[in-house]
Amino acid sequence: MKKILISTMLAASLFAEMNDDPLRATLLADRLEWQATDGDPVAWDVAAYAGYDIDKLYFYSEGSTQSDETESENELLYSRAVTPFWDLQGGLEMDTAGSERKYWGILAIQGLAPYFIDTRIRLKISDEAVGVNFDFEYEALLTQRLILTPRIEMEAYSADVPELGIGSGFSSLAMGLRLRYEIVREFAPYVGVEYVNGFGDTKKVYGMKEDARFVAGVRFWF
Amino acid sequence: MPKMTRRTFLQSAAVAALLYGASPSVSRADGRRNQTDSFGKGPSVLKGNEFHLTIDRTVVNFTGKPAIATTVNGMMPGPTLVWREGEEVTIHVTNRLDVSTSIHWHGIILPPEMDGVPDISFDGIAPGETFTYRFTVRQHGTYWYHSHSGFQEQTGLHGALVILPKKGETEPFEYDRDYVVSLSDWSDEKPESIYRKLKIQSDYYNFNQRTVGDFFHEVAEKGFVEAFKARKMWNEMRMSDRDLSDVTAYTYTFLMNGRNDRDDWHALFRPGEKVRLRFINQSAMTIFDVRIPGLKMRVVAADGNPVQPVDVDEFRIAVAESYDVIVEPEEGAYCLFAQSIDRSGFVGGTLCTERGVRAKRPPMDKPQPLTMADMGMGDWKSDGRMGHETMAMDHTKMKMAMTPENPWPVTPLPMRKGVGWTMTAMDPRYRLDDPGVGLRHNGRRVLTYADLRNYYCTADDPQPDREIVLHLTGNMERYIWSINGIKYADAEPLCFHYGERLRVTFVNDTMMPHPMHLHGMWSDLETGDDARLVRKHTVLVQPGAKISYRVTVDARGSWAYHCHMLYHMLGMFRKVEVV
Repeated sequence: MKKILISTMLAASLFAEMNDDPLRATLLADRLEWQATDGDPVAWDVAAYAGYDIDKLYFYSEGSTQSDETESENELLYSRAVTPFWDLQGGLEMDTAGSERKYWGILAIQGLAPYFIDTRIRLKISDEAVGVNFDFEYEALLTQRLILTPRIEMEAYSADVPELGIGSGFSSLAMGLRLRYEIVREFAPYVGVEYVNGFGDTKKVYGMKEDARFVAGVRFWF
Repeated sequence: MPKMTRRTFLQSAAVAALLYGASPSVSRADGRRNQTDSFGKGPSVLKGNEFHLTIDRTVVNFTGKPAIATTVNGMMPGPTLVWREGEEVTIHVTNRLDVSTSIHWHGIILPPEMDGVPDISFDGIAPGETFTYRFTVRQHGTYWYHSHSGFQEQTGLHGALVILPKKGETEPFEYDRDYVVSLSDWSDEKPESIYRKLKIQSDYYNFNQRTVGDFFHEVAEKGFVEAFKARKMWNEMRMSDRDLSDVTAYTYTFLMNGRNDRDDWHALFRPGEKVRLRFINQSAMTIFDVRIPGLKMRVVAADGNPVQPVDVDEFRIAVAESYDVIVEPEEGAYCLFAQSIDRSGFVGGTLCTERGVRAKRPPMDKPQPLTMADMGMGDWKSDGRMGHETMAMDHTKMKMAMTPENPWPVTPLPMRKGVGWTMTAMDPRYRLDDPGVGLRHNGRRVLTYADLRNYYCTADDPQPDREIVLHLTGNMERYIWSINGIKYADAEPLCFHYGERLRVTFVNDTMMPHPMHLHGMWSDLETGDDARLVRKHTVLVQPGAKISYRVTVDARGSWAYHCHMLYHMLGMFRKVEVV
C-alpha cells in the first residue's frame, strides 16, 4: 500500500520518475436497466477494476432482481494482460438464485477480438459441474454519439446445477440490441430489446421461458 | 538585415511588457481586452544577460471558466527571453509551487547540468528554492523553454527564446518586423485526469470515428466486397484509420501567444514590409498545420537553424518544432491560421495594418483518414490503389527485407515484443516528401522535410561510424508507449560514445506521429542531400514511416531522448549516456 501511495504521488510531481503507469480504479455500469416483462425486473451488468497496465483486480457483477427474487453472478478476479489485446483472468465466482448460493473457480479470457468485438469467455469450475460462458459485444457508431450495441451471451454446462436452475448441455442464450446516446462519454441513456431463451433441461425441467422484451436503461462509468 | 535597435534591459519579475526593437514587434501589451485581469498584460519580453523567473500558479480563463495555470512571472506563455549568441546568460528560477519544478532550454546546446531535466540533469527545483542556470549561448535563432516536471508543460509552463546573432553578425535573411507566434493547447481538465481517461478509454477524445454510414457510403461506392476488403486489415489489427490525435479540441482550447481564437492575437505591419514570424509549437499534444490564406510564406529557418529559403502555402509544425517564415503582406488583414492535425479545432490570429481588425477565418479542412502507408505498408503516393496481395504479406519476411545494407555497422539494441507492442510496420518507407495525413493532395504547396536544405554546406561532415535503430512502439488500445517495446521505467540507458558520428534511424511502428527530441546534441536530418543536412532538435517521425539522422556526439554527460507528445513521453523516453 505504501508503495502504491508513493507511486501515485510521484506521478503528479516528478517527471523524471516517469510513472507512465499510475494506479487507477474505474467502475463501468455497462447495463443498468428496467426490462418490460413479467415482474418488471431491473437488470445490471457492472465491471470495476483497480490496477495497472498489466495487473488488475477485477470485480464483475451481473444479474437481475424483481419483486421476490434476485439472481446474480459475482466475480472477483486477478487479471493479467498477456498479449496486446487479451487479458487472462482467474478467481472466484459466487452465483445466487434467491437464497441459494453456488461458488465456482473461474478462468477467463477477456479482450478485443479482430473486428473490434469485445469478448469475454469464462470457464466456471465447481466440484459438480463445469460451465462455459461466452459474451460478445460490438459497438456500431451510427453517429459519434449514437451507438448501437449488439450483444450475445451463451452458456453451457457439463451437468445440472439445480440450485441455479440450470440443466446440462447448452443451457441458455441471450441476445440484445441496445441503442445509446453518449451525452458525455461517461453517461449514456439507452433503449433496446433483449431476447432470452433456455434449452434442454434448463427449459424443460427448470422452466426458463423464451422471452423478448424491451429494455431501457443507462450506461455510465467514472 | 534586421532593423533592430539593441537595447539592453535587465528585467526582473516582470509585469511590464517590453518593446522589442524599434517596431511594435514581438507583441507588446497594447490594452486590448484580456479575459481575466489576473492574467496580466499579455506576452512579455525580457532581454539581457540575467533573468529572474518565478514559477507560480495563476488563475487564467480561456474557456469562460477560471482555471489554474502554471506560469512564469505570472504569465502564460512565459515571457519571451531574448539572448545574444556568445554571451553568458544567468537565469534564476524560483519555485513558488508546492511541487518540484524545472525549466529545460529546448534545443539549446549547453552543459548537461544546465539542461534542466529532473533526475537526469539535476535534482529539479524544490518548492521554495531558487536554481541558477548559467551558460554561454552558442547559437542563435528561435527556440523555447518548458518545464520537464510532471505535466506542468500542459498547464502553461512554457515560453519562447529568441537568440540574436553575435554582435556584428547577421542572419542570412532580411526582415523589417519580428514576431514570435507561439502555439499551444490548453485544457481546463487536469492533465492527470486526461492521462487517466486515455488509459481507461484511449479513444475518449476522438469524435471523428468511423460510423456505420461511412461504411455504407463505401459500399455504395465500390460494392460490399471491396468495401469489406478495404476495412479488413484495419479491423483485423483492431486499429482505426481515424486515429489522428489522442487529445482533441473536445478538451483543448488552442492558443496563439496565449490568446484563444476569439481573443485574436494580432500583429501589425506596414504594406511592403517583410515580416518575420517565429512559429513555435509549445503544445503538449497538438500538431498544427499552419497557413496564411493569401500569403506565401518563405521558410528561412527550421528549429532555429537557417535553411535554404523555400516558399510554401502551408507547413505542419509538430510539438516542439519551430519554423521561421518571412511574409510580405500587402494592404489588409490576413489570418494566421493554425488547425490541429485531426481538424478538431483551430486558432487564428490577425496580421493587419491597423488595430481592431479581425481577419476572416478560413473553414477548417476535412479530416483525412490514415492510409495503408501510415500503417507501414507501402508508399503514400500509391496508397489506396494497393493490391490485396500486399496486405496479406507475411510480417516477419517483410521485416527482414527492409533491413538496409549500410556501409557502417548497425549496433543491435534490445527489443521486447509483448503487451505494449501492437503492430510492426511491415514495409516502413522514408517518406520525406509526404506532407502527412491531412495535407496530402490539398492543392496547396505544403512544406515537407524533403524541402529542407541546410543554408550552410555540410559536405565536410563526417560519415557515420555506426547506426542504431529505434522502433517507436505502443499499444493504442491500452495506451502504453515505448521504444523498442521497452518503456522508460524498464529501459537501460542508451550508450553514445563521445566523439563518434552516430546515425539514428527511427521506425514508427505506431499509427501516431512522434516528434522525437534529443537533448544536448544536434540531429542532422537526412533529407536527401548530404551536402545540406538540415540541423534540427526535434524530428517528426510519421506513422508507419522511417527517418534517419546523424548525431555528432560532442557533449559528455547524461541527456534525455524522448517523444515530445506529453502523454507519450512517459514511456517513449530514454536516458542517453555519452561516455
